[in-house]
Amino acid sequence: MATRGRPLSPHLQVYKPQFTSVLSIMHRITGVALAVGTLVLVWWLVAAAIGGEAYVSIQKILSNWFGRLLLLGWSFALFYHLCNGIRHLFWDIGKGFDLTSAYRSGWIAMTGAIILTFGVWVCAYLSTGAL
Amino acid sequence: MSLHSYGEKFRALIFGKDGVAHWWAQRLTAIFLVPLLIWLVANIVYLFGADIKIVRMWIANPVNAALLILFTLALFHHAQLGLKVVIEDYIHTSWLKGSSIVLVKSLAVILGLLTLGSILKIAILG
Repeated sequence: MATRGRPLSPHLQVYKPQFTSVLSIMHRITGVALAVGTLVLVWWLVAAAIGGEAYVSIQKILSNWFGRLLLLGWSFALFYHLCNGIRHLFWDIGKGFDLTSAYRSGWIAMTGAIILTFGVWVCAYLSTGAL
Repeated sequence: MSLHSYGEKFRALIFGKDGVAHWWAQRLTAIFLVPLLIWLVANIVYLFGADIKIVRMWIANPVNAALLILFTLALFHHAQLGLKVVIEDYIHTSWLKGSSIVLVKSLAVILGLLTLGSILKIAILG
């Protein structure tokens, strides 16, 4: 098999970005980010099982501004991947392939993710009584 | 089984293009994860900032523990399947591709076991 530097897909650098292609690569980026985020989820659960100092320290890290920023980013990544994932499942059963539908469902997924992220943080702060 | 066929099996696991099974596993875990995530996010919002006693009581509830175990299995299987595709698409050096996939699969198993161990510890010992 000839392997001398032939172009292999997906080569994003020769592809003009469009709304739909940006959404597509975002699905991957958020997926990878969420996989990295599982480290924190595991850390939190292990700390809850150990208790004491371990749990206090993860709580501290997650409640400072950097921890909150990470959680905000991960919550958006989660909702985006969830909404766009449902869009993918519809494609898998053969629905919504035409261009108009693909753009419309793309906007729904993006708007849905932003609204859910905002809503979840308002609810989280309401539940602590901070709002 | 001969050493040769072990090697073949290993190659199939790492580089394998068992597309149909992979496709189905990715979709099925995705479908499982939709309701589980909605349930988990709603509960995390409720537990947000709660102290450890309340968090442990929540995990120790048998229904929550069972759903968390289900979530853990679906999550790490789904993550590992997705990362494998990303690695296959962007890493073209054979040894690096193979070792990255081995690393991702091993991490998924280790992190999954750590999570299951923690859930069970809290559920059984409180």
